[in-house]
Amino acid sequence: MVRTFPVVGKLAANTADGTGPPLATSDRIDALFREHNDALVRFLRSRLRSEAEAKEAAQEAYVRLLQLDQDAQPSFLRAYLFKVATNVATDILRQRATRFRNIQAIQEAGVQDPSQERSLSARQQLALVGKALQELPPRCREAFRLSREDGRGTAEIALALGVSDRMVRLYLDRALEHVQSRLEGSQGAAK
Amino acid sequence: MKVGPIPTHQVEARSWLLKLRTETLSHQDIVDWQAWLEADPRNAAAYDEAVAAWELACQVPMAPAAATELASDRYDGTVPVQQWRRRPQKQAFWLIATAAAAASIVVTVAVVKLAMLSPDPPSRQVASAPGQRELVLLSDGSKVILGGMTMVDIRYTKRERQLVLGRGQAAFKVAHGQAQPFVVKTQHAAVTAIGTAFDINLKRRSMVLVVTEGAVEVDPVPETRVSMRSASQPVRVSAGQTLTITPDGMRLQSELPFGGGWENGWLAYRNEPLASVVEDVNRYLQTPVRLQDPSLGELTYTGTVELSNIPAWVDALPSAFPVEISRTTGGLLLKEKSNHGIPKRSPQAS
Repeated sequence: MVRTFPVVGKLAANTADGTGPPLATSDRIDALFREHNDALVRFLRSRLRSEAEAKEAAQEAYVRLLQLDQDAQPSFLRAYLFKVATNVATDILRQRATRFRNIQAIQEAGVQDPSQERSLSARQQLALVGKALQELPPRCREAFRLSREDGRGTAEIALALGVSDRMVRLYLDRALEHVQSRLEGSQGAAK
Repeated sequence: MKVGPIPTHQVEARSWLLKLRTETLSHQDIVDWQAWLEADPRNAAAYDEAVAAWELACQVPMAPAAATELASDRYDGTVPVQQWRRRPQKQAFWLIATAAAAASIVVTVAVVKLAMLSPDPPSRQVASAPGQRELVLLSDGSKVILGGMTMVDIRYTKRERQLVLGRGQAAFKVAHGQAQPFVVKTQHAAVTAIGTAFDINLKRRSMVLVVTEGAVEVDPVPETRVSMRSASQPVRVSAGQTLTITPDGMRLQSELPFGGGWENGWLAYRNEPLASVVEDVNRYLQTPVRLQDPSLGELTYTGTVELSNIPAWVDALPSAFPVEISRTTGGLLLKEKSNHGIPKRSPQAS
């Protein structure tokens, strides 16, 4: 299924300067997004796989929030924004889980950079990360794989691996730490 | 190794990133996280770095771990992975475990000195055993890395530096500044280097050429040319391109194979027919894997294979594909799993 996102022109067009008549909910939502969009995209990047995906999800969250046909209070909207965004991310993850099994996602994730130089360096980074993942101890590596591929929660992974929930969280942290240290190591060497 | 202060921003950033991924995230968590982001610009920078690493790590294909390697894992997360890997006892444990389970990969170095000026010098043959990788240093400073079960004949003459790849896979790093062209010949084509690093994987029916630096000129053998009905001029393949030659013709792609390359110790595939993966993997096994039914070879594999741990990869195949493994005297036989539908003729009852 192809997801399409409407162009959100209102996001840039309307300004809440506070001098006009009381703002409609849609205007409050616009204001909310201007204020929180960066944080929202940052948040969504942790749940998804790329910045582009996170931006799409943020837009979708905006559209879903607009569909709230009620005179919502700003405080409610703020709390609701991240909740809606979380749901959008979950939906995307579910769709991707299906796609992933069809192995399309990996191809889409492939580096397609018009500049040869940059794409080589992106490739080198990918190679480094791949090596780092290979170096992880098996259970740590498997915990990381399950978390990223199926978006499984730590409790579920703990059950699958026969270790504690705390251990899974530690594995995930160590896995990311190792990937980062390999990436940094190469940057240091290149200087 | 230098031990610096613990970078707190990074540690906190990772822990936030992982926290944000949990299902039981509350609104208060998000408020706290935003406060943390705004408290120090280094926090936000560290978070963005962590997310960037996370996104990269999501792009690399990963194969499921085998039950055997999971069972023998002793890592408890108390120290960073890098530190754990350096611990001598643990390393020794792994080496023993790997050696017992797998065909060990021995890297040997052969130095081949060749007199360039003597008329028609004899060729020298270098070859590697299954599971063995070999680095060959040539007298002009060029290097050849042989994969497992690979054979190369080397002959340097006044006119050219000629290498013949008889079978297997080899990576070539060509020394600059020589008058004689560096030519690698296979049954499919002659590849002439132009200040280059490239890799040739010679398969049963095909040849895959990957150029990572510079460029090469490929001159297909007459038989290939006839089957392609193409013009007779050589094909130029530049860095970042892959050329595949099969009996049906040639295909030039502007991309490198996925992953870091076999010289680094692992193979990576994207939608590769299983038959082709098995052909590569068998170069690193003492007892080869065979497919009982050719239709199994049409299954596609996406993921990685660690060369030092191929038996674990083989063991994991039944969890990824509808196959089972039986150990026969001739090697490992991969069979269609009974009661599972690869819609082809059913295997004979035995």
